[in-house]
Amino acid sequence: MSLWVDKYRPKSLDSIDYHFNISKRLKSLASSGDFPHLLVYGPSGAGKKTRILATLQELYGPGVNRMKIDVRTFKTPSNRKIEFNIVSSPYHIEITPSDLGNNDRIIIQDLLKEIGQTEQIDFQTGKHRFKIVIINEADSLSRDAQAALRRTMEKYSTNIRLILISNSTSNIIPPIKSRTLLIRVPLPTVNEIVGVLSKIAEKEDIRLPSNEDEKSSILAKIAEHSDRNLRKTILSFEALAMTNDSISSACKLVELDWEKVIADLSKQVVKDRSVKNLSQSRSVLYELLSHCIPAKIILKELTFNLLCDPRVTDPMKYDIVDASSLFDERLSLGSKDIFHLEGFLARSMVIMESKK
Amino acid sequence: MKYISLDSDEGDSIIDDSLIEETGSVPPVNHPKKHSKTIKRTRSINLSELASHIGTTEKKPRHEKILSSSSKLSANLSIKSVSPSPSSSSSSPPSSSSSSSPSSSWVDKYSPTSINDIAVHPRKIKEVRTKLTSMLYHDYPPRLLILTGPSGSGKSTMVKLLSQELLSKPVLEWINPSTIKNTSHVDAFSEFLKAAKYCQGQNLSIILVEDLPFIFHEPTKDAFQAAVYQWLHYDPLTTLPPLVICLTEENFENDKNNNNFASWDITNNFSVDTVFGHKVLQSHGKYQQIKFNPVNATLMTKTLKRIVNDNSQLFNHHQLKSYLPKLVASGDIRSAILSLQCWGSWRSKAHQLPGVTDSMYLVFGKDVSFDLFHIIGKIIYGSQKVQPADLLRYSEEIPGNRQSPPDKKNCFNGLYLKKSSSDNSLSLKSSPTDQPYNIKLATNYVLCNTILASNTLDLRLLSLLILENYAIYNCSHYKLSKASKILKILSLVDTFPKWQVDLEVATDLVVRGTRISLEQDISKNQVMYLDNLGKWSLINGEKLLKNEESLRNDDKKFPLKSQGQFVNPHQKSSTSNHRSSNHHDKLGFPRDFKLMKKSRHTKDAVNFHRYQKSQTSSSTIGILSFNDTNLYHGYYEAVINQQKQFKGKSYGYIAQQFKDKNYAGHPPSRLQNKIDELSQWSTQKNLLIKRLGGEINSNGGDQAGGTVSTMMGDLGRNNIAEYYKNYEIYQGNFGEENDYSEGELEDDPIDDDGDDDNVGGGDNWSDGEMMSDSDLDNF
Repeated sequence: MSLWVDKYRPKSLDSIDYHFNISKRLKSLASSGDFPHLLVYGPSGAGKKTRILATLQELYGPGVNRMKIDVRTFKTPSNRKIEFNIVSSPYHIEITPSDLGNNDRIIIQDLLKEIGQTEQIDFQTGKHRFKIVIINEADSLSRDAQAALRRTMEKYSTNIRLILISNSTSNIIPPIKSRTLLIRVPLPTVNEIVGVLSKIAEKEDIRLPSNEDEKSSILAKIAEHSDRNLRKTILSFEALAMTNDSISSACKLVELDWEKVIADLSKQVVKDRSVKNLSQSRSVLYELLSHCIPAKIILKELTFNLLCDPRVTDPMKYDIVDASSLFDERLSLGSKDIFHLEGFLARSMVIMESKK
Repeated sequence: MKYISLDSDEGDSIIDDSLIEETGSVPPVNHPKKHSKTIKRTRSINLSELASHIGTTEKKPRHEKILSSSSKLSANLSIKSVSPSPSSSSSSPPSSSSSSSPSSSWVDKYSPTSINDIAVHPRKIKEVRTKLTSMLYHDYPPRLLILTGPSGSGKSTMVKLLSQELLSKPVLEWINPSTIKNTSHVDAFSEFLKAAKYCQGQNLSIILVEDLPFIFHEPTKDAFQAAVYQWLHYDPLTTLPPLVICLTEENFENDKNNNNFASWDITNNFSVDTVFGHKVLQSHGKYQQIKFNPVNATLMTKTLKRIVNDNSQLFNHHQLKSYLPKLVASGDIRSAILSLQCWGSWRSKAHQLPGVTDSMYLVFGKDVSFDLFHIIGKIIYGSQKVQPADLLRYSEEIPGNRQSPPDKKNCFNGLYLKKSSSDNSLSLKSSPTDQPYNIKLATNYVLCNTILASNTLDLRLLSLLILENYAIYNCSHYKLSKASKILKILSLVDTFPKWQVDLEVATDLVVRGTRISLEQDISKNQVMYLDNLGKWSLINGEKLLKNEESLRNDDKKFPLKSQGQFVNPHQKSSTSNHRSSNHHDKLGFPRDFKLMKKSRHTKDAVNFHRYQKSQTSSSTIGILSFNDTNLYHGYYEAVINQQKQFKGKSYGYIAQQFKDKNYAGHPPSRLQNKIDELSQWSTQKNLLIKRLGGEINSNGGDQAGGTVSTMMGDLGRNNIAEYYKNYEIYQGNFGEENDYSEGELEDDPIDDDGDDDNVGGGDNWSDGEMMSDSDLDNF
């Protein structure tokens, strides 16, 4: 018993429902005997990780699914001890260095060195001498860590293969890009998602409209509402199926709470442009930030919500986008998100006030 | 008549003399019993006498002096004073000594000898006296009295004098030992308190702790807090002697290298909360806290005048008139007397030196540093008054003004100084042809300089405070573009890398930017008038026109009423009342610290969930990324699980109906499957039932805590509470065949962790912490 996202995750490359080209290529890579370093990138919810794990299965057999978590302790140069969780199977190891913040270089160096120095002994399959290291969220690795990674990649290449996963390649330094095989996993199309959802619905015995057109239009609506992010789509589909006995076009989609809060906030901003409202929206912003919603996502959502508002006229839109880009840069440079988010709100209010 | 007798009565002394010499602390049982009744001393007199005996006439730091004298005391000196009548132990010491020994400090010389002389408000004296009396003589009294207040507000002096009055003997004071033989520094204080317990009966005395142990050292702090806690919770049937702890609260500038601004602890905030910790402060009823204000102007002036009269030959009374208010403003009587003495003795010699000008006297006196709220108040509200000294200092820099004619006195750059008759502060007045804005600009300039000159500014905190409080100006009724300007500045300054831009520049930008942004608004939105004292004041435009809505939307409609409008006194008083009470909202403390704390807890909860999820057999993907977990799973999983829980219950109910009505003996297989599935589901551990990190409150969760339960422990506990509830409902309604909730209760793995650190979680800093009234009065 688990969530549908987990339950219906394809285990093998053959059973993945879309982007057959990528699956085919990975499969041929896995069967070739050697394996390059990979950099898999693409938007969230496109199926990067699923494909990689399926590839690992292709490489090593079902043993990779026997995963466990170790807690490892590392020492920083300042002699502070950090505990760090590592997910591993006999064949691979998975780390998320962004959990560690600034100390990621230590992890990269120590851990990879340790793995790289021990040769993989595999009595069961004996296929490959190398171990796979999956690095999640590689774009949040610090420059330091990436540089360390680059040396490790060369030095221990006999024993280690790296698979980096990231949302975009823009934060990855060129030397790493040149040492890896780049694979882009784009988002599934709406039709592909509809296919996936109807498959699940069939297996789960969900009551959907019998009319084929109506059914696919509902599923397409869910997919579009979740920005074609498959994870989000399936989660929201399950939530929808759980809240309603039978799904029809009349059903209200289950909105994410934080998206709703941001949508409300932007409505409020358009409606009431005053200093008082500005200080009230600060509370909402603080609430969102305290729930670890990334400030950039808040800014993005706010911007799109404002742009979609019917009361915002075209000349305002240019200026709002302009302000949004300015404060987006400030978010990257600054350290306290709240200043910039509230700054953006104030700026948008002024824009709407002046171009009214 | 007083005398000092050297008394080598060592037989009574329980503790080894050499040890006492070394430690310098006064063990409570140390006063020879037979003298304890007769000892009567007032500190200052004895000290000066002692000093002359011991031969140290140099000025020493205060506690060192006490230390040396008291260690001698405890060894083999006891001082007797043949009970002088209160009147004869005169408040002014013999004049001969004042003239013949100018080296003695006036702070000691004029320190109050009776409770009536002390420069503290009589009400406060009464309050402390009542508290102390009840602590001394009543059953089950509070065991600890915490006195807080700025330095030089008479906290410890009052306790010492009250001890004289109530018990006719000196207090027992904790002095930090310089070296210790038998115990560690960490434990020294608890040893002292342990021994102090026995100060009862004949030995009953007030225990004063002013010189706190070195609590910046973590173990020492813990030991200190533990000792105080033990003291409070010592066998409740026993009566303990009153313990008084004096604390000068202050903020420290944060360590510049320390980028982690999340902490709000003793390293940057020396306050009752951080010093005593939650554990002690939660012992309600066991302790009392009394807050002292800075010494008020009347009492301070009275005291200073008394000293001046006593030494009238030293002072030039004309200059004194302008100098005294500056001293008085500091509210620190110790510093004021010290400055007065220095200035007085400097004045008497200065005329012999060449090139000494009158303005040089301004260098003496405590640098009035404002506390942060005070500064924010100044920045946001602005001020119509400036200190004469500040005006003098900055007069030449005031931008955009003409050169002042050199022959005219008190005329700066075309602006005239007008002295207010009430409090001697100066305000600027323009010649009739000048624009009022000119005055505002100059006043603001001086004001900002004054603020920037005070060295207590922490840029980060300052920016956050401004962010939190800019909207309170004029109850948010001002133009949006002003707010936008302020935010633009704050946002810009936040992006300054610390190593590139001088912090001062950034601070300057923030202070001036905010002030001027708000100020331009005043000049348009508000009406200036000259009141009958010749002082420029502002009236809120809103008050005059009573049209709030149009004021916000378009303030250009309001004509700028020109200067020189005289208002009759009656009308003036009503408007100024309005201004002081309703004009602005209250200042708030930035919520950023709370945010940091909350987001840390959210982070913990999310990470905990992530790793726990990856360990369960259902996981097929290893570790989820943080954002995916928080953004999508955090909410949807909770929704799904809640719904499943609900369905599980309702299916169970339907199945029961089937059974009850004997439909073919069993519920249909499809229903049975569903029930099995759901009951299997609900035996999973650590199901997410509430949103990870708590609900997101669309109102911003401003309504005091509660709605957001962020901590990991809380998460676990909520689960359990939820289960309990469901279990009970279930038991009540549906019988007992479905017992899925029990397993959950017994082995919830996070049941027992995270309890301890939750205790203080919610109540550390409430949202927009309101200021006390006394703080507001400062503005």
